[in-house]
Amino acid sequence: MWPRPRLAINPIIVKELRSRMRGARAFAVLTGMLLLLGAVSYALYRIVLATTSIYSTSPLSPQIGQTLFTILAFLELMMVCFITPAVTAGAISGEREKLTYEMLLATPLRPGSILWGKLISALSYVFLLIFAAIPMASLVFIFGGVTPRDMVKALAILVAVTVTFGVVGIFMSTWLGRTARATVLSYLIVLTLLIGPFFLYVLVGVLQQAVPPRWILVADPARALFSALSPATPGDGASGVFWGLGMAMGGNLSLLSGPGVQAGLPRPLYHYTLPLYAAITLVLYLLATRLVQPTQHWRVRWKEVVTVVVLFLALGGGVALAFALTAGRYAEARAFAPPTPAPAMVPPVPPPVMVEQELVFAPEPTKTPAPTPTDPLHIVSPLASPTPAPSEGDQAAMYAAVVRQLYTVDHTFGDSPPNFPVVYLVRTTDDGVGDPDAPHADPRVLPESTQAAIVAALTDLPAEFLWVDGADEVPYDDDTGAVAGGGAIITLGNVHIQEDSTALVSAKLFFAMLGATGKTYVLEQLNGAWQVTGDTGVQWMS
Amino acid sequence: MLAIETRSLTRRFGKLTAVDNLDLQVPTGSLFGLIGPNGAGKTTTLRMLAGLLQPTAGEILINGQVANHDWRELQRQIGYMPDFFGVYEDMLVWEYLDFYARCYDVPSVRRRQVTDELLELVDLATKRDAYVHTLSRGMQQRLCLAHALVHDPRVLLLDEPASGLDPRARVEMRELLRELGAMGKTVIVSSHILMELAELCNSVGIIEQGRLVASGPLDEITRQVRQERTLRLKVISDQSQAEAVLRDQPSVGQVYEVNGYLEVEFLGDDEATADLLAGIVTRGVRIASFSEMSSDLEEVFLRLTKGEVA
Repeated sequence: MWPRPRLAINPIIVKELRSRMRGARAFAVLTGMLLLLGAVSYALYRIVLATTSIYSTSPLSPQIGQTLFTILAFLELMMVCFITPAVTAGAISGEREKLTYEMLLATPLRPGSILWGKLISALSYVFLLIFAAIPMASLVFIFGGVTPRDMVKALAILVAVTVTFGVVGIFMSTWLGRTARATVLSYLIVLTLLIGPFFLYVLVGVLQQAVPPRWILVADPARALFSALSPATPGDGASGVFWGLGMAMGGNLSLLSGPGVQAGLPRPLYHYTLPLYAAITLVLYLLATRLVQPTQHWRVRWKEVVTVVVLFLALGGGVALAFALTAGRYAEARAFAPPTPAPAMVPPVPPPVMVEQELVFAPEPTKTPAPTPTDPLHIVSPLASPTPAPSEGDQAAMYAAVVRQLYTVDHTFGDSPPNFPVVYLVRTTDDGVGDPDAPHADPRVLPESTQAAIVAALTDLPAEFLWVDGADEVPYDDDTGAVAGGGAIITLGNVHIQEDSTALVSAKLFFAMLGATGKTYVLEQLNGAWQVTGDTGVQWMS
Repeated sequence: MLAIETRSLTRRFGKLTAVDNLDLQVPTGSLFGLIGPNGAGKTTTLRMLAGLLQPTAGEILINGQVANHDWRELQRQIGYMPDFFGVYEDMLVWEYLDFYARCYDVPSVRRRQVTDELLELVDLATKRDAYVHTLSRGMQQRLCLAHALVHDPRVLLLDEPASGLDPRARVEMRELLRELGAMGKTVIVSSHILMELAELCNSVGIIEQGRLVASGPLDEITRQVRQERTLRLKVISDQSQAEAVLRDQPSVGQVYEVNGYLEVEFLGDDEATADLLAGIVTRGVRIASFSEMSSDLEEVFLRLTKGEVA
């Protein structure tokens, strides 16, 4: 009759949005959700304040920020999980039950467009719920500890989970044709994805008495969300109360109790979750477009086959490309790849440890002694092994490199180095500092000459280095328990030369209660200078 | 010119054959009644015509075009109103029509106009801003009819448009259909109630167990089925003499007097009727009016279906 308008909005979207946003219900749900999130955030804020004041330390602002953000993201995920199936499971079956579907199919509107319009309009409501919470979630920026990048990542995962669960719901609605059945089955699937992998993970762990393979957790949306948030945490400073929880839930258990020398930072779980969800979404959506046809369900034209093949190739290609582009960050990276140090804080000469530059020359991880990864005894084994004594000059150079690494990179403040004005160095070594569980054996007092050499090598850093006999010698702030004057204490372990002529040195940085970190560094002699090239075994933070 | 034609149209549901080799011919511009008892296959036929159901065999021609791959385009020439339908909640009357106008790609500049015109046509202009689910059944039925008209289709398929309506609403619906017929649209109406179609349709198809038993213009079918007709005469000469004359004529059955008219049961075609008239006039009976009483479709129907189903 009329020429088909080129850019007409899908009528289903217009209709659905008109009726969905009408009346008080949509706004009541939105308001209720925001109030709930607000209340929970405030409660959490109070809880964090209360728990930290027990130790008479003022809580770290980034710590509050990260805790709040993690919990907010998790709450939103839960909401998405429980709202999305409800709004999509009735999409097609509801039309059938209300006897409006026939009239819809009798119009020239393609069944595919009906499906698409239903999906978009249902999801846009959930998106509204997600995005409406952004301004409130942005409050965490006041506390710090969370970067906009973290927020974008969290949002991307929330949106991806929403789309997938939305498609699950709409597929069930199309397939089963009854809203009640579709809703029940959709919720079952969502619930299975939420708790199933974790149960399986725990079960496998208990049965095999070993850390279970991480891929079990890939399908879990909550684990994916945590995995997107947690890797940012170690580098980005203050450790949240929930950091360990997030790490554990994020499936990065290997970082906590993992193999001796890290072959590389494990790729975060969500890198696998997102492609998996994309594939599920695509398959279910394509099936739904067939099921929604009033006639000739399975008569597929070759054109459609080509489209499907192209879609899957595009998905596979996209994923492969993304993996290839980010491969450098994960597969090749040995141990920690710190965020590029803030240039202003780093003196030009001598260059601080730039791990990424040296990655190319770093020996293959296979060259390093690889203890059996799952045997907990081996975690401390590199330190326990007998070591030839290094020369005094080498020892001073190694300690200087470790102190430099702690001072400029691993200070736990992320991109904004605290530049402690004064650093107390403890004369007596302690091998237990890199790992609280390791034996605190073999304390040695560093010779005066070594002490002087270490300080001499660090004169370019904007700090005063003072040698002390122990941590109790250091002045503390009476109110907070932090080191007075914004200072920090560094305790070092003994130098352990390995068979491949790398060296392992433990070190600990302390500046306040719950503000400390420790790890065991791997050092290598590159171009004649000892440099930190990685770390190994356990690292800890509080 | 045929608006709708089916050739050997067949649809089976498992073992049940709902429509069996149906050859339907609906002339353009006609008000066509599809009559049959419940379960005869009327709805199945209409759903196939509307493109909602794939025929098992046979083909459908719409305005001379075979409905095949370009089915979606042909759907634009058809307005369909199902027998049972629901309405969306949380939707205003004008939005309802606006929605279907969008579905049929009515340009935005025309939508408002089309909506208002149709609401005027189905007498719902005052309900423009009411919620659809608050309308009475009859109003919803008329609104549904209006939805089938948003794209100004040439063919209308109406499945039991008067079902569930009270007598007054029935009359309104009938008037509406007559109006549509006057607008030149081809209207196919299905019903199992014959009386409402007898006064409305100019041609009918009678369907029974999925088979077309009779089809064509109403009077033709009537004649086909039976030669017996009832004639009504106004006699201004002596009535008893007239009755005697009539009884003398061949093929005349009973003669009654009803309200000053004579009703005569007569068996014969139009020729015989003319002969009858000439015969009684030459015998000196003065006749002021002579007419055939309109055929009773209900009787035709019962005769055709022989009570096989009902």
